[in-house]
Amino acid sequence: MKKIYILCVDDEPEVLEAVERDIAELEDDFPLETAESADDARTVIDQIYAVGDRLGLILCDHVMPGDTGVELLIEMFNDERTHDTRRVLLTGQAGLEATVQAVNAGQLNHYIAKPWTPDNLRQVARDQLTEYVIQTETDPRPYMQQLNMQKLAEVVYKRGLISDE
Amino acid sequence: MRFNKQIIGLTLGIFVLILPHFLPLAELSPAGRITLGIFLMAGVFWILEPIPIFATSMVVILLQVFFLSDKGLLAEALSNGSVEYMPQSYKDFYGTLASPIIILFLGGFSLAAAAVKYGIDRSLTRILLQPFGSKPQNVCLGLMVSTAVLSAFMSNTATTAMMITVVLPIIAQLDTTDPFKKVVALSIPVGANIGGIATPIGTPPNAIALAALREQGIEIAFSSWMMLAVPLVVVMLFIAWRLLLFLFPPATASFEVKLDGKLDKSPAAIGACIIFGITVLLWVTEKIHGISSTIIAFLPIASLPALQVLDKKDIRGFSWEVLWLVAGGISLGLSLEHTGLANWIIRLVNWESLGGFGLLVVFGLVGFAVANLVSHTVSATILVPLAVGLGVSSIAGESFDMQSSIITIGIIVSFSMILPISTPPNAIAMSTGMIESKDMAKTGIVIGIFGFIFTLIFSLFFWPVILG
Amino acid sequence: MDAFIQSPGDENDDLNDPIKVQNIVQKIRHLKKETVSYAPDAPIINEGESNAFIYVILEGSVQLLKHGQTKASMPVDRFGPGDLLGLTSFWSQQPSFLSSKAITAVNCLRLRNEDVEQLVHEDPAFGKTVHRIFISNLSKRYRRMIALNIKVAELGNALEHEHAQLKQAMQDLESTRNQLVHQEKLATLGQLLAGIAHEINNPCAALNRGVDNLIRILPTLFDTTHVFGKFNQEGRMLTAGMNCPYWSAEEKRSRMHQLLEQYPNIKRPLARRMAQLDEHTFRSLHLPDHGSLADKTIARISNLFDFYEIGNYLRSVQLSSDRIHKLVISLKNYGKHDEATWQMFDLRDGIRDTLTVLNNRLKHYRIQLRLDPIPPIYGSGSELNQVWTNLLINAIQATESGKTIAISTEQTDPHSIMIQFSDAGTGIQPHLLEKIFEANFTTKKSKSDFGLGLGLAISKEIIEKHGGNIQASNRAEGGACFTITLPVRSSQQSVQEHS
Repeated sequence: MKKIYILCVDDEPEVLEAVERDIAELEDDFPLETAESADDARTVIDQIYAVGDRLGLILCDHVMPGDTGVELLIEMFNDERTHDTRRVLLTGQAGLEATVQAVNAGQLNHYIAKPWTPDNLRQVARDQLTEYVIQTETDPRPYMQQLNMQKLAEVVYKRGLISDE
Repeated sequence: MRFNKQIIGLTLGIFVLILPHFLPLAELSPAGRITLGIFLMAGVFWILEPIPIFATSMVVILLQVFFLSDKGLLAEALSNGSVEYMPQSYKDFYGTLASPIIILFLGGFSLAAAAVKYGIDRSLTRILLQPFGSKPQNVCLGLMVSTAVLSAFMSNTATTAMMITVVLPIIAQLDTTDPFKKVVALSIPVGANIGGIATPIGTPPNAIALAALREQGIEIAFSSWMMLAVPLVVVMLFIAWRLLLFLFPPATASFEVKLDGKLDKSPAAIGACIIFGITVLLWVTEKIHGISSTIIAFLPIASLPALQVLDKKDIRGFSWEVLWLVAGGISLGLSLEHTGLANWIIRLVNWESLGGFGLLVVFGLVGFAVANLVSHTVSATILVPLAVGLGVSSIAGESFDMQSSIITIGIIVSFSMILPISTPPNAIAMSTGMIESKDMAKTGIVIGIFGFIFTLIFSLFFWPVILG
Repeated sequence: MDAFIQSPGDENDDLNDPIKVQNIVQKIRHLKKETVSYAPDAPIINEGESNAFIYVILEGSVQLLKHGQTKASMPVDRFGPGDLLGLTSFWSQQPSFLSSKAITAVNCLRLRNEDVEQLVHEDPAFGKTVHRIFISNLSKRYRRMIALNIKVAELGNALEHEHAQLKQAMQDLESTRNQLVHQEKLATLGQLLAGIAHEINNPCAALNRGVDNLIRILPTLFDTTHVFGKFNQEGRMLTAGMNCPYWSAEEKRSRMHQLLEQYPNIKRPLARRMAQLDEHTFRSLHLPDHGSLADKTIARISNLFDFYEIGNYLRSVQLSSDRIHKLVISLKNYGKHDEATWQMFDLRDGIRDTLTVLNNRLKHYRIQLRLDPIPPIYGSGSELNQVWTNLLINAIQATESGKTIAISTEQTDPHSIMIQFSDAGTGIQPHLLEKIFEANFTTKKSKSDFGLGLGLAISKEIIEKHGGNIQASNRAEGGACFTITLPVRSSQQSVQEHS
């Protein structure tokens, strides 16, 4: 089964470590990769899709050397492969203009301001991955325990794709 | 890994398809060999699942039409070769897709679709659960009864999926260590599997049994089936209830079962309720008005779309693959009978020593065991024709009641719920993570044993009385 | 003016001669024509009415008014003795264009058409005189009107001139006011910064002390020569954690994947940690080359990594408290805003402080520093910091991220130092190179950089206050360059010049 990845992009290693610690409990089902810049992130994304896995969620800082986080997110929105990837800005420094652009041109899914609380980050990650699974998986059952079970159970019921044998 | 399993399954299936023609099988007509090949291939495909099980059913019909029908490739050869087999009209094979039993089920599907669309299933659950209060023991019973009632008329799987969404909030209230979580999570699939037995349309194995009976000229009314099955269902629900509470005693004294939701009062919803009610009413009063339930079944099929309660998207959403699965099973049964293969298989074993009861036990055990590993419908498909063969050939002797036996086999397979793969309701319940395989196994084994015993008891003492 | 009104021919104006007037009056009187008297403010002729008389004013003055469409009446002209009233309306037979009102008590002769004809008929020479009088009156009126118009025009010009001056004065006032407000804001900010820096200082110092001590003591707890010798490996892991090598994200990833392949049953978080170890420490774990690891081994490694992480955190805390400490110092230095204390200082410190404070915004650019040794100068460090801030922010706004911003200081001769700020940005339009230092000049949409930069005008003022000057130029390679020269003076000289 294709794995669903989480990618965290930030130029500060402390942030990457903190995110990794906070969402460690999700890593059994959703492996985490980290990148330190937009270019680095592109490399990771290519690697993920080259082996047939997919990127379910990206947590991205905005101010980074090279391309900004918002630019990366917009690019990902327009890339066929990562079009459905859930896009979250995790930043302390996106001004209103950049955020508006992320929302309008990149269909930003969520914004978390730094500093974040671990519980909130986990909850957001779960909720976003739940949406991703609903959109891209016909049978969401394998993910029910790690994500929003109630919502996925509802999807299983409403889709009616599992039948008596 | 999956790739390899597929290759193995396909090759093995094709191998056994042509194998009978190279084996020295005395007394088996060419048509019988063909059927044996198809039968073995279908068995392999259904068990190893290199292709989906409903696809296998369609392949069965394909091969039958191509090789066993009057328009098939071998039509002339077959009719000349042996007097035992008149090539069946290809329309018979195709006809299984719309056999009256299929139509009956289709009627059930349409009612179920309408119920789900307008939340009638949820509303009904709310009503059914209410009188059970808030004590865990009673809530458990309430859940099982509601699930059973719904699954009698809707697909077991759809009922389970819906009830899971209902009970998840309940489970969330409980302490993580409270064993009652397991009770709640298990009562749904158990209730669904048992409840499916209650009516002809409750679960596909029932269809296999009814179709086989029909083929022998025996028609069982909707209400008659219910009279046979419902007492058994009640007994088994009670046993399952006590079992669950015994295995996983609840830790909390009481909790709230709050189900919110609004009653859909739109005209379409009301129309759905009315048609549902009328259809069920007509079904259970079949004996009174004498109109076959398979004919009543067309009422909802026609009226629901006509009244725009269901639109074409809803119709596309029916589980057509289940109908195909059943149709393939029925079709295979036809050939098993008409080519004499069923007879031939039966003669391989010396059944006389067993006697009627012994036969029943054997068939029941085999059916139960297989159904735990493979689709219930498939298990019924494989065994019911053999039971028919036994009954028709009178090998088994006087004590073998074919009618009861067929119904028994059809019902026993529904008690197979030991493993997550035994039946989709089990799989759905597992995906909540509330129960472990061993919990399910414990429950499934005990229920299976009791189900087996009680079905036999009913079959020997109670049903012959009703069936007359 | 009067010379203009007087035209040749007026010398013969009989009516200017009071005696002549008397003659005429007598003559007319003798025709038994009445004199009419008007009290002050009494109307004589009303605008819009027809008028059948000629009035010859004998005594008093009459005000001519125009009512027009508004209720207010506008004074037009003033007549005195000898002037003729009602001429135009009399001859043209049109309704009177103006109103006339007595100002003082007025005595005048009122002549009707018939009277005039009779007079003329009786004395033809009189008729000529009358005609001459009429025409002279009319032309006098005309000339008076032109003179008035000229006066109006002149007044208008004078008014415009004053208006322009006032406007300029207003602008000057406004810019002065803005400057004052800026100064005020800056003073407040300076105080705020000083206060905050002060507050942070103490816990920051405590933090530093604590971490330094932790780093000193903790490893000794696990020292092999210590009584608790069995902690050897833990101590090694802790020290390794403190000296964790720097891997790029790509290296970390590939090492992690490698480890996941080597030991298929370890979880990703553990693999990630193991990927950070240097070779030596990794070997000290004594793991097999590859294969599934026993649960016990995994548990032991995970436990060891707790110590490794302690080392990580110790280092991270130390680095962070260091950063805070440096920031606090820079903030304190930056915001010192005390006009009274001018002193000798090395302005390179200020440049560095400014860079620290602006670090967050500068990190997207390549910063080239060439701060050659320069002698200390006399002045206000915090004021110059404002200049550096302003120039840096301008550079940031003009330059694309990734490009270079360069700052250099050098002593060009024994008496002056040169500081240059150059960027690889969009440059300055040549005709604006001097204008940009003018007050209120801006090419940016006004965004208030609160307290961080007052604009080039104020920067220039500050530089000039320090005895130097600032110039803008464009670099050949593209981008702008600001060159500041400051004199090197001993504090003695500076005190004299400054006061």
